[in-house]
Amino acid sequence: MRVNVKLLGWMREFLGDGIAHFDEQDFDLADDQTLGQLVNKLGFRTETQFMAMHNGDRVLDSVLDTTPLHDGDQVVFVPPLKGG
Amino acid sequence: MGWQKKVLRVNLTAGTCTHEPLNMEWAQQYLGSRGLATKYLMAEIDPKVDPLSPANKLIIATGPLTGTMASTGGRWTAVTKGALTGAIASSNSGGQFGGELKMAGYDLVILEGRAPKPVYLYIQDDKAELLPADDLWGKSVWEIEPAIKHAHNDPLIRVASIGQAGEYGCRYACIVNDLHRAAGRSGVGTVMGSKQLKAIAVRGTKGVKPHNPEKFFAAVKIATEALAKNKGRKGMTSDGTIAMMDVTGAFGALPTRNNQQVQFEGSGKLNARAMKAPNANGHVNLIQNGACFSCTIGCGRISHIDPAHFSVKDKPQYQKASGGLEYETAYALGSAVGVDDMDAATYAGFLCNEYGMDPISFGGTLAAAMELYQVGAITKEHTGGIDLSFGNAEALCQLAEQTGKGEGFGRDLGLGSKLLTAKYGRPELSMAVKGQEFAAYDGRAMQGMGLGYATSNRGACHLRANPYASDFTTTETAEKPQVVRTTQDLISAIDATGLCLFTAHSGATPEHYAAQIDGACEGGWDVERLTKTGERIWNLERQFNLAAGFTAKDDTLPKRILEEPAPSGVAKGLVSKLKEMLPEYYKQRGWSEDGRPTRETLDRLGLN
Repeated sequence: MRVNVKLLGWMREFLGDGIAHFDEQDFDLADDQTLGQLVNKLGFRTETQFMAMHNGDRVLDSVLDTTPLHDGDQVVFVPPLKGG
Repeated sequence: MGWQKKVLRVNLTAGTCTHEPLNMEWAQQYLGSRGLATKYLMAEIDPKVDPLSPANKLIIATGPLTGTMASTGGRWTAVTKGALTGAIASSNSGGQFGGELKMAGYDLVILEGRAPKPVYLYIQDDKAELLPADDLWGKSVWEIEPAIKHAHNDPLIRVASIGQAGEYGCRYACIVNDLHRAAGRSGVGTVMGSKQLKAIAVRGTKGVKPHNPEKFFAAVKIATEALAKNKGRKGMTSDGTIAMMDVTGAFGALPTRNNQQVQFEGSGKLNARAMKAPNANGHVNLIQNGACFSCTIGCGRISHIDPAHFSVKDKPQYQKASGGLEYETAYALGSAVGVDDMDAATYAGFLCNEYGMDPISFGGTLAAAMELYQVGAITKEHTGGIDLSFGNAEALCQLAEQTGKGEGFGRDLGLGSKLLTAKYGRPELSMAVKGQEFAAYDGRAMQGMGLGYATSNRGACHLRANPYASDFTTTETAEKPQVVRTTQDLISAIDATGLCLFTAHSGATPEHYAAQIDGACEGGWDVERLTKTGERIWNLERQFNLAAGFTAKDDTLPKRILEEPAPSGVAKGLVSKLKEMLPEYYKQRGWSEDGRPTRETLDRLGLN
C-alpha cells in the first residue's frame, strides 16, 4: 500500500539517523502495517514528543500500535508547540 | 562582575545626565534587566500615575549577561507603566543595541520627566548628553538611524528610536532598534514619545568583565554546545518561528479572524515553506536567516517583497531586504485578519517597524475592527471608504500606513482594540487581557496558555509562561496551574539575565542559566536561587499592578474564549476552563482568594 506522509513545522529535524529530510513523501509499505510501525520506521518514537494525525484525526500515543494503515491514507506528524 | 554597577539617570525636564552607582543590594535580589528595572520603577513612581505624564519613568535595562559572549547575550528591556495597559510593561528586544549599551558601561538608563522640545540621547561610554531632535521629529525609524550615524560620522553607533506612531500617541507604539528589532509590547514607545525623546544612540567600547572568567567561559561553552546539538534549535535556524503556522494550524490553536476560528485555510501560503518557495514571478520572499548580538540560534528572517506586488510597486524603498515575517507577525498580519498574501503581510510588517508600532496589537486591533465591520458597527463612513472585510490585503496595507502615521481611520486603530471596541459599542469583540491583544495562540485548544494570558502581569502575552509541552499533550486542566506558575517564574529569571527566552525552546536548561550567571556575577548563584529570583520578580510586578488599581477581576479572558466553544481542531467544542484553574493558581502562588500575595509569601520573598 502507499501512504502519504507529511511533516509539519520542524518535524523533519526529528527524523531518525540516515533518513533524508523531507516535508511530504509517499511511502510504499507492507499491507499489514500500523501507524506505530510507521512511527518506528521514521525514527520518531524515542526522539521527541509529537502528534500524529491519521486522515485528519488525532491519534493518541496509546493507540498508535493498534491503528491500521490502508492504501491511500495520509499521516501528518506535528512537532511540539513552542513559543514564537 | 557581570554588572557594570552604573546607572545613567537622564532628567529630560532639566536636560541633565548624571551617573550613579547601581544599588547592588537590589541587583543581588532582582538580578538585572526586567527584574532590576521593575524594582527601580516600583521604588521611584506612584503606580497610579498617568502613563503619559512626566511623572512616569522609562527604564532601559541590560542584564548581567548582556554584552557577554553567552549565546543570545544581547537582550535589553524597556520597563515602564504601559500606555496600552496601565499595567507594568516590560518589553524585551534583541539586535545589537543592548550589547552596545552594556559595553558603554551601563546596567540601567533611567529616563524621567519630559523634554520641553524633542531631543535624543547620545551616549559615548562615560559621556552622555541630550541633543536637539527638532529635525528628526516627524521622521520614521528607518530615516532616523542613518541620520544619527551620519551626524556623528560613526556607522557603529547603535540606535533605539520611536517612529511617528510613538509621537502621535498610538497606544501600542514600540521602541525599534537596529531598524527591525523592537521592544514591542504594551506601548513603551508611546511613553518614550510622551517624553519627547526621539532616540537613544549609543557607542560603547568598554567591554563586559565576568566575575570569574574561567567558570564563566566553561559555562558558556556547555550551554552553547547544548544549543548547537538541539534539534529544535536547528529547526529555529532553518525555518524560524513561522514554522509554528503549520503546527498551531493543525492543532486548532491558530487565532483566525479575531478568534472566530482557530484554523486558517490560508496558512499554507504563510508558512516556512511558502517563504522559501518561488512565487509565480519566480520571486522568493526569504533571503536568509538573521541573528542578534552573540546569538547562535539565528531565528530571524530577512526578507524582500516581490517588486511587482501591489504593495511596493513604484516604492523602491520597500523593495529592499528587511526583517521578514515571524510566527507572531504571520498570525497578526495574516490569520487574525484573514489575509493569506505573504507579501502584503511582509509589507505591513515593514511598516510596523518603520513607523514603530507593535504588529501584534496592530493586527489584533485591525481584526477587532474587521469584526466590528462584519457586524455592522463600523461602516465605510467610519473607515473613509475602505472595505474592512476580513481577507482584504489592500486594506491591511493601507491601514498599516494610516495607523503608523496617525491618519484617517488609522487614528482609531491606534487606540488599541479595547478602546476601539468600546468606542463602537461592542467591547466584547476585543481579544485582549488587561487591554493587550492576544498573541498567536487560542486559549481553548491551549488551556495553559489561556491561564497564562489571564494572569500575565503585562496583559495577554505568549512570552510570560511556557505551557506549550503540557498544552500539546492535554486539554485537561489539572496540571496547568503548576506548569504556568513555575514557568512564569523561570521566564522572569531568564528575562533578568540578559539572555533570549528562545534558548529555553532550543535546548537550554535552568542549570545552564544558573551556571552562566554564577560565572558572570558575584554572590553564588544556583538554580534554586535563580528561580526564587524569578518568583520575586513576578510577585513584584503583581504588587505594581495591584497598587495601580488592578484586581483579580482583571485576571480574565474575553467572553468568546470563556463561552464560545472552539469550532474545530483538537479542542473542538471546548471553552477555556479558566474558572477551574484560577483558584488553584492563586493557591499555588501563595496568594489569597482575591489574588493578593499573602503576608507569608511576601515575607518569604523579601518583598515586605
